[in-house]
Amino acid sequence: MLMRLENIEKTYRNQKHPVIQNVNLIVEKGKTTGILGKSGSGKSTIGQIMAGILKPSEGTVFFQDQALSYPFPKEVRQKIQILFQHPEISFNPRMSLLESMKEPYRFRKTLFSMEILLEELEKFGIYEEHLKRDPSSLSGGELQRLALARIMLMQPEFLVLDEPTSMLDVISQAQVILLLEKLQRERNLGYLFISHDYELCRHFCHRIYYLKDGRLKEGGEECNDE
Amino acid sequence: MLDIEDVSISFGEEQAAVSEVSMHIQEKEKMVIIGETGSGKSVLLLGILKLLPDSADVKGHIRFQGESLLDKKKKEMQKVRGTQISYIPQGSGNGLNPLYPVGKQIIESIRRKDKTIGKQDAKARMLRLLSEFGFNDVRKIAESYPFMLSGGMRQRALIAMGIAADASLVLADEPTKGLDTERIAMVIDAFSKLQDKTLLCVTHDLRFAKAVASRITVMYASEQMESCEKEEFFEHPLHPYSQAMLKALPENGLFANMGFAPPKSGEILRKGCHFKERCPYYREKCSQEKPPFVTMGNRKVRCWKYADEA
Repeated sequence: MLMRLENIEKTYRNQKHPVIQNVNLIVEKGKTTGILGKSGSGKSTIGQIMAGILKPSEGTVFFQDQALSYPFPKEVRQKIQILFQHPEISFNPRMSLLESMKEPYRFRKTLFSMEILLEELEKFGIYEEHLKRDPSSLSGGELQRLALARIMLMQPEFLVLDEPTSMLDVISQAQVILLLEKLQRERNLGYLFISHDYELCRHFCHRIYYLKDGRLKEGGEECNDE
Repeated sequence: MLDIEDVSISFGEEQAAVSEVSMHIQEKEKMVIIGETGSGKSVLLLGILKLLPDSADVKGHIRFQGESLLDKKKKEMQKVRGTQISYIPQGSGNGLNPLYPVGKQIIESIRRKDKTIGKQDAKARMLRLLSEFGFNDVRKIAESYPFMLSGGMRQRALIAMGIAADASLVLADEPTKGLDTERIAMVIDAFSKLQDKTLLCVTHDLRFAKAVASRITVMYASEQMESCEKEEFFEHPLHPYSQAMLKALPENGLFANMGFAPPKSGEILRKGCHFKERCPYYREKCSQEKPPFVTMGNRKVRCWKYADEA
């Protein structure tokens, strides 16, 4: 088991009722767990709790059977990354894309090499030409692949994917999803995939939960069994 | 109703944002332009409305009910916009004024067209419109400021406002972008109420296009690639790009048997077909010469695969 939520509840400050309650779910290594639900159902809240951005009000988050405290310990934080819906907010508009791509090296205290970076980025369909531009001049698909490439530089084991393709055209969407599937196979990554698109979830996920009125519908349905 | 002929739009020296686009939209027709970000579809809409910055160079002819829009002066255009042609801009509800309640804004557009209508009548019409667009507590919604509504609600309010003036031609830019499935269904429902309007809508959402369109035009990197009836497009697409889009839908298997788009630069686009780098049917001719937009029966397609046959 890569990641597990146990009886998670979250009530935002100044609110009476919890957004999500009694949430139990699992993500296995090399598998994708999907959460389907409407806007405002609390999907992103679960994602942010699993990414360590948001502290739950109740319950426990386990990473490889270790109960986590908030903020996550540093060695865990690196292994858990999140990809957002709007790729344009993932990049600092005041930094060149190349500068942004150097950040993971700084964080991991490893030596930066342009050659290695470009070799890595090629797998994501990103070339030197892209890095010279500023974030606003790239398409959504290009930026999302770049954002994915950047979090992969952190060498994560678990990714929260918060509607990563809902702003993209169909072909860019298919490319990002196929890329995610390939990375999962190669590196045995576990994913939490948040979506409102049933067809997409059915295609991509190994297990699907439905979130309604703050509660997960019991039991993950197994699908996409190959 | 709306004739667009050989319209090219460029900004300065750069590669044109729209090149030689032609379409003839009949009354009550629902034309949907499908294309990815940067294909030039939004620029085309703004070009029709004459809302582009002065640096834009618009060539060709745009005629609305027989009258040339490009020849109209700024003031004359202001009279056309909102009353004869309405525009629903991109971004869920960005077109609403944040400082006024929603109802007031809708009344404003009703009274802009019909100056004789009384306040009470305008208000009644506004409330009726809101309820037609699926709002329950219409009085409360009318008094709400845009920030108090969700994205889907704002988008529906915006569509309601767009058609409040009873313009015969409605232009809409990506009305479903960023909305969830249920809200998309609401927007589709809202659009289906526009039966007696003429619609020109741009989107990258194929499922939305399927629900709303009667005709489809596909744009890629400033060019029109295919133009046909909706059924033909979804059942038997001709252009390799149209085929790729349909195959990429999750329900059709989520295939993406094409390379990543190279960064779009003038260099690549200057010669030959704009889709050549990503096309599975690429041949030498495609980089040498731009394929013509050839007629095949009652549809048109821009691809050497068909141009040679025709």
